Amino acid sequence: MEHKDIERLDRISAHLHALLHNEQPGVLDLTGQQEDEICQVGEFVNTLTEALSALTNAAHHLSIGDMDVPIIAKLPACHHLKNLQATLRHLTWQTGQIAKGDFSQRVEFLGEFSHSFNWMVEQLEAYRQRILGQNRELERLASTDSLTGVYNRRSFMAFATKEFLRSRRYSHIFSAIQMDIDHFKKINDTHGHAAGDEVLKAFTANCLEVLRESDVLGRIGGEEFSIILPETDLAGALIVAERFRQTIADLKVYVDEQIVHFTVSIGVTNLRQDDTGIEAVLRRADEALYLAKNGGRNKVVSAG
Amino acid sequence: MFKEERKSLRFDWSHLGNIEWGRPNLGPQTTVAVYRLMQFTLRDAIIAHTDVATANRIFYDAGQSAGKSMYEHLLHDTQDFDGFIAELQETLRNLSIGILRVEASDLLMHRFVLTVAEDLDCSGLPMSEELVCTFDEGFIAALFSAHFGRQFTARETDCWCTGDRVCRFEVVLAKT
Repeated sequence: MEHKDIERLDRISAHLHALLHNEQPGVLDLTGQQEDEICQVGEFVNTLTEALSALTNAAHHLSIGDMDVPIIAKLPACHHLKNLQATLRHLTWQTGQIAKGDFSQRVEFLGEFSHSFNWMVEQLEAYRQRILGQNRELERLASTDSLTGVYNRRSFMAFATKEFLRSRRYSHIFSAIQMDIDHFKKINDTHGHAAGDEVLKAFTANCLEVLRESDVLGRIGGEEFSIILPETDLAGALIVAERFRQTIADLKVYVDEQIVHFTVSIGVTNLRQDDTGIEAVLRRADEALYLAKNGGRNKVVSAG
Repeated sequence: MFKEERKSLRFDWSHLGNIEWGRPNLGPQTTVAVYRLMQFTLRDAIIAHTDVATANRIFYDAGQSAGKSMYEHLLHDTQDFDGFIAELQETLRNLSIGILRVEASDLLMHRFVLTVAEDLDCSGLPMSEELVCTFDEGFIAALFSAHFGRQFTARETDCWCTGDRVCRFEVVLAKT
C-alpha cells in the first residue's frame, strides 16, 4: 500500500473515531484523490455521518417533546423514530380527546406506558361515573322529600310552573289537586310521630299507585300534598281525586300492632283562560280544599 | 352491469355478490398478497396503457367510490365526529385494512391529519420514494365527505414507500 493510501485510510479512521466518541467531524474531504475503493469508502462514511447527524437531531427533538421535527429516513433507525413520532402525535390527540371527556381512548404500541395510561383513563372514567352518580343522588335528595320520596315543595313548584307555561304556549290543558290528611295532628298525638310517618308513607305510596307516569305528586307541607295532572280535564281529575279519597278511606295502616284509619280532603281545579300563573291555579284548588274541610272532611270539592 | 360502457361511476355494493353463498368452502377471506397482486398489476397495466397521472386519477376515483359505498353500508350515519372516528377505527381494524389513528383534528377549519399503520396497500412494499396510496386518498376523502356532507380531499404526505412506518394523510375541505 502506498503512503498516500495509508494517509487516506488514517483520515477515514480518525473521522470514524471522532464519530464514535460523540464528536462531530466535518465532511471528509477526499476531493482531488483518485476515484478508487478508498475514495468510495470515504463517500460512504460521509453519507453515514450525515445520516447519523440527522438521526441524532431527530432523536434530540423527540426527546424534548418536539414532535414536528422532520425526520429524513435514511437509516432504518429513522423509520422507528418516525413510527414513534406518529404514535406520540396520536397520543397527544388522544389526550386532548380524553380532556374533552372521550374516555373510550386507549393507547396501544407503547408497552408498559400503554398499560399505565389506559389504567389511568379507566380510573378517570370510574371517578367520573362515581361523581355523576353522587351528583344524581344529591340532585334526587335536594328535589325529593326524604320521608316519602315524592317531590318536595321547591321541585314540585318548578315542575308545576313549567307545566303551566307549556300548557299556555301550546294551548294544552291540565288539572291540579290539593290534598290534606284529615286530623293528622290527632294521629300524631294518639299514636306517636312514628305512626304519623307511616301514615304519610302509606298515603303517598297509595297515591302513586293511582297516578300515571306523567302525573306529579309533591309534598307541600306537613300533611299537605299537591298533584299536577297534565293533559287532564276537570272531569278526569275529579275521577282520580274520588279514587284517591276512596282508596285512603279504605286504607288500614298497621303501627305497633294497632290499625290506624284516616281520611283525606281534596280540592280539584283545572287551568282556566284567565289564570295568570300557577299560583292562581293552586290557590283555587286550595280554596276548594278548604270547602271540603269545612264541609265535613273526607270529601272531594271541585272549583271548576 | 359490469361491462357496460359508462361515463360516470356506477359501482353498487350489490356488485360484491353473495360471497357466503358463492364460496361455501373457501369462505370470504383471501391474503394481502392477492389484494396487492390485483392492485399493482392493475396500476401497472393502466400506466402502460395511459400514463401515471391517469392511473392516479383512476385509483383516486375508485377509492372514493369504495369509501362512499363502505360508509353507506358499514358505518352509521348519525354519530358525532368522535363516534365516527371510533367506528371507522374499529371497522378498518376488523377488516384488516389498517390501524387508523388521528394526529390532529380541527373541526372548525375542517382540517385533519390521520395515519394508517399496517396499511393494506403499502406496508412492507419496497422503498421507492413514491407516495403510492392513491386509492386510500380517495377512500378517506369519501368517508369524510359522507360523514360531514361536504366535499373533502385527502392527500398522502408520508408513506411506507418513502421510509415511514405509517401512511400519513391530510384531509381538508375541497376547494369550491
